[in-house]
Amino acid sequence: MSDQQLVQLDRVTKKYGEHVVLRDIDLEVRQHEVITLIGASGSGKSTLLRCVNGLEEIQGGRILFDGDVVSGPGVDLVALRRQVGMVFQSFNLFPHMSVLKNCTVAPVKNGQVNEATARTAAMEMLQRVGLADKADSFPDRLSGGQQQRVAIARSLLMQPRVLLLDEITSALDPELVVEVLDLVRELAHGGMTMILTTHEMSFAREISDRVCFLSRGTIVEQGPPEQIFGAPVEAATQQFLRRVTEAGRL
Amino acid sequence: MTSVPQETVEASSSATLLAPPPRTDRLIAVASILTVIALAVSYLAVSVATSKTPGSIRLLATIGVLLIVVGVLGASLAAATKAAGASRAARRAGDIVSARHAAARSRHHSLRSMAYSGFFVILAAVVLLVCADDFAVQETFFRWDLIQLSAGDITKAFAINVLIACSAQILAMLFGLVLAIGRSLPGDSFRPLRVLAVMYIDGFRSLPAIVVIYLICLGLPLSGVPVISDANPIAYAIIALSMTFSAYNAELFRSGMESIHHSQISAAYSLGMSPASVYRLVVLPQVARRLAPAMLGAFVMLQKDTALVNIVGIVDAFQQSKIYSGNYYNLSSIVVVCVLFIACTIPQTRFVDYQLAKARRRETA
Repeated sequence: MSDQQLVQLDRVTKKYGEHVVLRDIDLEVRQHEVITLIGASGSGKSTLLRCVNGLEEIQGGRILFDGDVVSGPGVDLVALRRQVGMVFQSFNLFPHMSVLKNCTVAPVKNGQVNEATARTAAMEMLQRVGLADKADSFPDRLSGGQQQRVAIARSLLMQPRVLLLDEITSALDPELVVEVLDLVRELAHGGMTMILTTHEMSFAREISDRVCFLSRGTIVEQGPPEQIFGAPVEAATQQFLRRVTEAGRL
Repeated sequence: MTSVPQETVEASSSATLLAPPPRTDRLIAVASILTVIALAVSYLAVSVATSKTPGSIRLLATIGVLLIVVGVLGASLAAATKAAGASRAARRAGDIVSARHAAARSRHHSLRSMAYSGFFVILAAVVLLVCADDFAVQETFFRWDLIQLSAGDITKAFAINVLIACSAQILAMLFGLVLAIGRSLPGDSFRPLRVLAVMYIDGFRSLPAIVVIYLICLGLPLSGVPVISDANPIAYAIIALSMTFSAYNAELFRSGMESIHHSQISAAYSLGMSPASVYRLVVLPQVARRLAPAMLGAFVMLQKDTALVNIVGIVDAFQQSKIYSGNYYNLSSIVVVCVLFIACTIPQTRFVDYQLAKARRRETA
């Protein structure tokens, strides 16, 4: 039912000049679903995420959020992005603000809450991610895993309906990956709708409702994790998973 | 069976594989020669400088200067010699590591002595330059009675330089930001604005400030346009300098804005912040921090260029000092202007350095 569909990509095409990055992408994300995009570098995973919250323009097809078209001219992207949060591979915390300020600046400046309420909510969220004692520290003093957890907290404080996670553990040392994945697992169990791209295949297998394998701009195969990881239908999927297993990442 | 090279056998049969300590005697010799030169030049300088003062003061000054030079250089030389002796003793005792330490210390003291000798020689040379030829340079530039006479008026006139500099800087920064944003406006529809911005920036970066001041301060009144033509010449000067320096500031702002990685902007947009908020809260604070030293450099250039307004008859500090120098055929009043400018600028640079260091300490581990 379309009222349950939160995000819908309808024959989406994206080009950089002549180079086609996404080709006729059809994807539906229902509320509370966790969708994982897997594929080789350059297959268009990050670009797809960036199209969903309007950071990239599309040249063909349409993107719908909660039934409304959000691609093309005349869309209030600011309003869209207050409902679609995004967390990045390189954390992107604001270096000139403390952790607490990083978390409160958007809700306050977007006119949603006053400073005091924002601060309380931020401290609660930082407590939840285990970083309440770092509230007054600056991002430079935190480890990668801590910065990423702050970035997730910062996005969550905007109370988005969908969270986009773009390779959020790829820039982390292996021992720091666990703390971030634990947080994402908690969010998934709490019912947050998420689209994530990752190279952590076992994690993807564990928390996804659906996995999509992208190759060269198209969704080659999508289905439940048991199918994709256990019994992939397409040859390209099998080949990709074979390479990943050989690299010891599955 | 492989044959072992002879040197390896010898080296392994000696007590240590360490290289011998470096030589100290040559450096001490050079340092001693330079000390003698420094003493000679210092004596010459002090005797020329005190040639017009009574005998007792002259004697005191000479002894004082020589004592200082001997004290500083002698202390270093003595330390160098002592360390060299310790090095030799340690080497004889077989303790190569201590010998190397002592030799390094000795060389350090010798080099220090040489550096100070150079310092004294340069200082003495400057004094000689000023006092030579029967105090010709000092008479022309440093006459104390004229400095005292002119200082009051010149300092009062310096207020005009300060006024022009501060007003022009505010306008130059505001308009510079406008130009930078205008130059960076994306999209085809904004091309005419981008072209205008580039033309303005290129034009005013190529024109000398003095020419712009001349054109605006003399040209606007001449043109007879109502209101604009009747303003105070100082207002024209402020406009002229603002127009020139907004071009420099625009380029600084643009390079600063481009230096902020787009991932910061992506992250800010992803939080639902409006473009205005993104620029005001995320981009500009980071830009300001990065640009502060360069912006201060531009501001200092602006302050110096306020002295150019004398060509259109505004009586600023420089013009006032020229009046004095014309009346007395002496340039000591100009030295007063120099002192004022230097005294104004150095605290500013130190203040900005301090603020940047404070911000850096607060933000980094």
